[in-house]
Amino acid sequence: MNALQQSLEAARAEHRIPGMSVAIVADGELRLASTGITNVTTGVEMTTNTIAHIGSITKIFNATLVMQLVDEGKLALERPVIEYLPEFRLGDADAARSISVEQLLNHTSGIDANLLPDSGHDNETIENAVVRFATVRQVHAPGAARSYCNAGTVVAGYLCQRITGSSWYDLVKQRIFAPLGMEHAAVLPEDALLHRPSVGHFLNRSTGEMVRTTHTFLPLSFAPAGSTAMMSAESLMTFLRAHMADGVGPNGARILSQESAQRMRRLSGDVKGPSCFDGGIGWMLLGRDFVHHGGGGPGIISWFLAHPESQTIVVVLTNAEQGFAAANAVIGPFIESRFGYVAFPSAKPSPEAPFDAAAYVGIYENYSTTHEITARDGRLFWRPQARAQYYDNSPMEKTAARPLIPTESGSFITDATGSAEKYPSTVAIGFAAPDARGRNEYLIYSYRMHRRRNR
Amino acid sequence: MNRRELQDALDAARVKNNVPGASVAFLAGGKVTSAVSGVANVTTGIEVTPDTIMHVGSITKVMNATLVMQLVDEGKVALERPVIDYLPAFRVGNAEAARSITVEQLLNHTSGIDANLLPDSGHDNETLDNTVARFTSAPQLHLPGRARSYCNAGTVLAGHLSRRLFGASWYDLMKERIFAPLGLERAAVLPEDALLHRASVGHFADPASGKNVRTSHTFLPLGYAPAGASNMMSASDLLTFARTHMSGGLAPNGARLLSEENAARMCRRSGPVLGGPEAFDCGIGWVRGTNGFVQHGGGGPGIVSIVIIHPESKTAAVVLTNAEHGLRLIVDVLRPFLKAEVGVDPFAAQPQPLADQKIDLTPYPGLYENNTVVFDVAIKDGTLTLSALVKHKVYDSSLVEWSAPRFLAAAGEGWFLSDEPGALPLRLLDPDARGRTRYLAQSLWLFGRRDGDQREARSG
Repeated sequence: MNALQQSLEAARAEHRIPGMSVAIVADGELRLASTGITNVTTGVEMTTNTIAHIGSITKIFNATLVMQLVDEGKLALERPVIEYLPEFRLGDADAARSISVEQLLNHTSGIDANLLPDSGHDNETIENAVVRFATVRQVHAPGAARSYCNAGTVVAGYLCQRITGSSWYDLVKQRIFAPLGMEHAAVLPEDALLHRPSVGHFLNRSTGEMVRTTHTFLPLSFAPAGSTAMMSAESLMTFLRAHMADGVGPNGARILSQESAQRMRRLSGDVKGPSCFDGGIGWMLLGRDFVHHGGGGPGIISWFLAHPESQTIVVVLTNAEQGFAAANAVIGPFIESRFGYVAFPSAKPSPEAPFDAAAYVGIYENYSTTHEITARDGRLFWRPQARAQYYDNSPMEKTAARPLIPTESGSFITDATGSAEKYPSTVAIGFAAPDARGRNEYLIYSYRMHRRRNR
Repeated sequence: MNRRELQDALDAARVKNNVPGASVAFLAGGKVTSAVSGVANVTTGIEVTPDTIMHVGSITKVMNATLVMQLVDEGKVALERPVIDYLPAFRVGNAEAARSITVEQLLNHTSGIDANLLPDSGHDNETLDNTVARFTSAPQLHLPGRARSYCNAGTVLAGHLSRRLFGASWYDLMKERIFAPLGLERAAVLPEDALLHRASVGHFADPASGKNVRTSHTFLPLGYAPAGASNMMSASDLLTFARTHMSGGLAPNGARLLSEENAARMCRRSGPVLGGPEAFDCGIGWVRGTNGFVQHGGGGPGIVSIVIIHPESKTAAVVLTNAEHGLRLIVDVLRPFLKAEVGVDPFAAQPQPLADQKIDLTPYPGLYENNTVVFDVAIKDGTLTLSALVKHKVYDSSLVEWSAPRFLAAAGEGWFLSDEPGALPLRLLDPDARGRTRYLAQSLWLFGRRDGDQREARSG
């Protein structure tokens, strides 16, 4: 067994992942491996041809469609969206008038619609999602901060539909999958059924058993943000290689101009306020010129990391909610050994670090989640509550308060399961933008800003 | 019934008929026997298992009719009433037809709405609301109640009616009012739900090599879901549904799906058809076969399936296949077992060519069509010929150019047999005042003569 297969199987076993698939390009060589099963209920094996959810990695596909229209002179990133979509409305009329195309893609639009509740199959159209945005509020003023924004990417996908007159699904198939020859890729549930598809799983935190998700995708109207796309690690690699080669696929097909491909990987937006991450256009940026993106969904996590200069790319697809740790167990050592760079360092707890509880206590929220921070006996506690059942494990009820542990970086970590279970899940929680009294205006969780209620 | 015999028969029929995969479930003497064979998908090689969900296609129509009958049970709908009483906005191309079409006519294929299938309008547009809106310009194949021709549009409208009167999405109605009470765990009515299961996919035989090729699209357009675009089930779950109907609406798990009265009513002949042409015999949702059998078939892109029940002997069978040419397997597997169990043949004898082919051909030539297919019946060298054209591509195998003409042999009383291997017999029927046949009937469909007098019905 080769080293890649070994590291994959070890990661799968350690993190209790049903199935994983990996693709690596380094030194001009493509390597593939897979392990486990696509679905614990059916027991069908994961192969290198298995299509698995890529979740929000789709956002780079979506951004590529927009940049193709920029290449064709049909869109300018700097222009307000409303110039192309005169009917574009948000709860905040000023924001709707000023948000630029670029702000949709670099997560600085501030539109507070991380996800909307499922409105039923026939209503879950991309157009309807945009209509529903007409009443949502802003997490921050356009351009003022950077908070991961699904809504912006949905509007960008809709914009592509409107400008081309084709459905977003057809655009992905015809302008990306087909020219690059991505055979094991689907962007519609009905197309996914033609393949060997994977499905998500949740970890029963007390028994360690994996349980199949009850629903395959996040609501379909958020397709451009990444609800539906599924592909093999190899097909995703083909797409990423096209970007690393500045727009030219391994098969020689050009899907994007060199200028646009490079622009996508540069820092985008002059953000003065809090920034939850560094963002290009579609891409997320890391140190040492690495780019990356992750994807989540109901019981899935997928991730890739790429180093454009050396054309090194690692893709890991998993079908488990706790898949990030497993993906990082493959990606991390590989990148560290080659570059001496730790892409995703884990936060170092600093339990004794002093803090002013008053700066943090309060209720923070965005459209989909409310976070309550309380203080007791000199400790901080966190209690999340979802506003809609997006995942089988979305905390819909008032959950037990989890203690927050200070870290060396000034943020906090906690066990999202509430410390009561055999299989914990560590998450990081940050705070930003203190007011004159030192009270933070924002809580940052999962790249997203949640604004303090009753400021 | 012996499971081993069934398994052997299925394996043999699958190989003989070149079908990638099939799943069978039988109910006889109160006992269920099942078997599976082959693969769910020739590209992935994943095996068909008893848990594999496969397309049931138009068999969905029986479930869709069950939803309407639940409304009848609840006193919310009367079958005899015009649809427009419940859906004031209901429109079809012919305004008079829209005013008169009854709920029952939607379900017994006598509404005459000519919208067998419409071209795919793209994922986000393929909603039930949009499909119903597209029917507002559909012509009539015949006046409501005057004839019987298999009508997908009617069943879509019936699904829309259920949705409106129950106040829930049609997909949710299927899940909550059919699957859940019967405990059907291997059943999915949405593509995204099907992905949770081990799912089969359709195949077409490549005409050159004979090899089975995976379909390029999984379903017929989703806007036709109540007619059977999207539904997938295991054979045993579908058998549970059929068994519930045979047990007067009472499921094996004790849940009541439907009143005894309405379960029985669905199997009885529904009409009457006032002396017009009938392509087939029909109840409400169910198709009435020969010798006391009641059944429904299902098609889709590269799939053929059947459910068949014999209420008198409480015998039932389900066969699901993932090949366009799956019907041959179905007949091979079902015929001997049902004959042995019930004592009669479940399938009608095919008409045979007449010894004397010298008949008057003048009533027949012409173009016959519905909204999806047009047939050209012509006379060549003193013999009838038939060619066909599909108006919009529905399947990978759809011929969107005129097919080469085939010769037709007379088989008596308007029946004709094509010399194309495997072709279904057809009938030319319902002469007008000039003696010219108004309709061509093939399988369950009528095709009206272009420029015939029945065209008066079309726009009204």
